[in-house]
Amino acid sequence: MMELKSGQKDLTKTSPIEIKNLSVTYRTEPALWNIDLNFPEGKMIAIVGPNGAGKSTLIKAIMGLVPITAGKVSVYGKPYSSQRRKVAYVPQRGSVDWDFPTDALDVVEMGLYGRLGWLRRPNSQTRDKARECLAKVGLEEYTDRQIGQLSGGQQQRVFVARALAQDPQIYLMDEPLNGVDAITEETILSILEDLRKEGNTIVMVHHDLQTVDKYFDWVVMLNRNLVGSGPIKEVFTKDNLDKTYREKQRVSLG
Amino acid sequence: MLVAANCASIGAFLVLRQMAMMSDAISHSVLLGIVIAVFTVGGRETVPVIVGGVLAGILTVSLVELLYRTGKLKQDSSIGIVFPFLFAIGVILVTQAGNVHIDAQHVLYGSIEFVPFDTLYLDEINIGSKSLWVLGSLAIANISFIAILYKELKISTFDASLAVSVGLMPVLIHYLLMIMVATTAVVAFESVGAILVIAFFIVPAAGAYLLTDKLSKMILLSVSFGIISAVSGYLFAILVDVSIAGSMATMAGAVFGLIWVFAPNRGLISRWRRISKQRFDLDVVILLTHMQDEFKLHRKIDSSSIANDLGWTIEYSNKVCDFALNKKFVEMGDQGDLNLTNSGQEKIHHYTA
Repeated sequence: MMELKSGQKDLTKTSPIEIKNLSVTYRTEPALWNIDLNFPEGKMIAIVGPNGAGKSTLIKAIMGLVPITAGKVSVYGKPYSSQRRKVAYVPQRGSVDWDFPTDALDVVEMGLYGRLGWLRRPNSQTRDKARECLAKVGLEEYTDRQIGQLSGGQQQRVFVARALAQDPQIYLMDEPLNGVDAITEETILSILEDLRKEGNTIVMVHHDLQTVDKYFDWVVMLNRNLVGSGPIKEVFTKDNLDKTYREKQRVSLG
Repeated sequence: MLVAANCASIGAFLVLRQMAMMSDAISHSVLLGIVIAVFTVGGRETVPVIVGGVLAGILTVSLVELLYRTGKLKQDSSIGIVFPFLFAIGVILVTQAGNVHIDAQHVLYGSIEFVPFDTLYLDEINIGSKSLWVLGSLAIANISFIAILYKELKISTFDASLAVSVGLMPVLIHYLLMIMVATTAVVAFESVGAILVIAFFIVPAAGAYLLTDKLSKMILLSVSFGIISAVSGYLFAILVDVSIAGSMATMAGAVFGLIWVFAPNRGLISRWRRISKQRFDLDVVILLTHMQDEFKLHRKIDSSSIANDLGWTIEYSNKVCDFALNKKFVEMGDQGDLNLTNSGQEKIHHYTA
């Protein structure tokens, strides 16, 4: 009963993403095994781990893009399906067909389709919003460029702009810095830093271990199992790195 | 013509979803549904035939997806297993249908020639060709389907995972699209037959895809190509007295061929030009780099020494040198020797940086 009183205050402080006993299996192959995890609010969070560690699977499972075998995910204390607007997803660049007949502005506008809901058409408001977001990532000159004619870095920035258009509180990003040029990396990080300062939570699958302590303030180390999760200084240790990256070897040798 | 327009409009999405073979499968296996419907009601009434065809179409898509998900089979193999099986059952049933007016010839190649004679009467007043009415309503259905769900179709075709994450159910869209494909296939079946339907679904849309970077334009172009193929095919068939459906599909192929060769940017010729231009550009840089190396060794060079050193013919060497002189990448010395200019240096730097 005492809990209830303070509970009211805690309600606003529920974790952006809370994962309990999460397991995901592809056929009989476990991709994630019994993950218990809380993401803190207003942090830049890196998910690291070797190939096949389930990094992408983890963020897909949060949004229900892959079926969950066991466990529970909640977003600000509720199931994802009722919290869609609070989350934006930036998929890996290779996940779409860049030859699709559409331009940069149009892709960004698609970020607003969820908000529009069924049958409502995009309008001048959504156009303006999309244009604004494209400008934020420094691509205002490329609005009518067919997306296949953009460089890899520019394509990635289009995806980030699309997420901005969704105006979420949580950004789930799958390797947005993979294979991008220096300008793009800088642009994306400074945008994310601003978002974080405004209290948004950024979760990013990250592959470059060298830059983890530079860019992030929280790390999740994954190897099908959760190896560790917490502030960089406490968790991003040599010991944990060994566990994360060696365990995988043992599995593949066995 | 209406068939072409109908097929071409939704065809745009089939091409973009890389579902050409799926639409082929659907347009074949609707036969099973049509035949069963004909048996059940004992005649070729429009509504039951469409319902039967659509059900068969959905069965095809579901079976393909079942095989694809549960077996080790790729999607194309799954399609290759499912639709011949369903189509074959349909064929067996057709050959058993002694008392029903439907035969294999008709099924495979259609009989567009006789369509206008099947007239519709309303209170005993002739209101025109029945298939005209059916196709007209289908055209309206297809156009409104695309117009109303344009945004949903676009997002689920371009990025299904985004569509799922924002709650726009791409699976539902997928099945709705398949229903429209099946309905269109059933209706088109009568006129053009099972084999040629796919030409109207895919060919105009593929041609349009090569011509534009905008989805809405692609759909409009696709419909125009469909209509152009149908009209020109019809005229050609009348002129030389051959199968109408066949010559329409041939025309569609011809229109696509023209686009494939002549399209700006994505056509064969413009691509070939671009590549040869890039090749030539590269050769110019090779020449400039070669000159730079030779200067370090204080050798004098001219067009013929270049041809010798780079293994080019003297004509080609002259051509590249002339181009470089023209662009002022190199300049001619007093004794006919060639020297690299500052802009030549820059050109090399630009390439190697």
